[in-house]
Amino acid sequence: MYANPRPSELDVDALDAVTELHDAAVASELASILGLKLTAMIGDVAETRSVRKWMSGEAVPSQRDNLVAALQATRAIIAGAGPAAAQRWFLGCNSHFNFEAPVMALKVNTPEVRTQLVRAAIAFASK
Amino acid sequence: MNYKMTALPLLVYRVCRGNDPLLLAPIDRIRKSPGRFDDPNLEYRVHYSAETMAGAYIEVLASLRANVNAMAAYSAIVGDDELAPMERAIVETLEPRSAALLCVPHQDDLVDIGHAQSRTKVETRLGVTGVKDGDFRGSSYDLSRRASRAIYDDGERGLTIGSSESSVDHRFSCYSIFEEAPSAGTLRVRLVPRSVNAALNERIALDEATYYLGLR
Repeated sequence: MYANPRPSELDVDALDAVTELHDAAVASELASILGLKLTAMIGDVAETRSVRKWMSGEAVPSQRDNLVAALQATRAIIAGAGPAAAQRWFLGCNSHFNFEAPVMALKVNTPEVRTQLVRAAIAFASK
Repeated sequence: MNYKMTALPLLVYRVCRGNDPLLLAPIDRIRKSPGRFDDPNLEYRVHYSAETMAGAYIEVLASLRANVNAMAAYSAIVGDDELAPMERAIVETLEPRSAALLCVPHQDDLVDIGHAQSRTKVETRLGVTGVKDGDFRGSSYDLSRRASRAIYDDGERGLTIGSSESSVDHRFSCYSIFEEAPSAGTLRVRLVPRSVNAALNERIALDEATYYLGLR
């Protein structure tokens, strides 16, 4: 058997810690991994200027729950792949959402779709 | 009427995290994110594999395939950062993974769950009607998981269905093999790893998969 080091285990319980973070921390971490534009999409705004305001605490995101779920999903994907994969996953055709992209599915803005988002990310990361 | 059975091929393929292609996911992980045919009662676990190596790659990489509407919406956002190259996303996804070829030493049959005969049996077992082939490929896993449980309780080894990621002109099957008993760690079908390589090294199958998915 070849000697590929065992990847870090996906600690799914640690994802719950994201809910304790302040808005600015959530936005900052998301933006640092996914980029400002994708974070803007998740937060349902049309320009990255708003994201910078969330990051500095100058403004509060109206879609905090979506941002939190997206960060949980992002952390899961980082554990199983990496930031570029996370970016592409959010914009990809996903069988968990009838081949819609996860970032578009979030626009429904319901607890169910947020749960589905995190589940789908864990599924991708642990395949 | 019984299930329609189909024979497992002599070789099956799996792309997985780490380097043990027989390792089953921990129950805690399955509880957070159950797979399509995972047990609704979280007792037994399921080993997933594919008919071809390219198919195994497609199962892992399919969610990276760009969605046209999402890409258009992304482009419309006012800002100046850019996406990382797809090549990097593929490398990140496959670097911690292995590509394995698994031998099936004994002739074993699985339930062909998409076949009309099997669907009729599932309907009887679950007390439902109107089950369609596509119900086992859609985004809701509820029916698939309940069907899996019924098939498991009937003592079958596992089930097979065409991949939800495959299209008519590139069809491949996926195999879901049941854990022998709750927490047993062994499967109802004996699989023997024939080769286990770094997933990035199986270039031909990887190229076929990325070409099929339009990732390059």
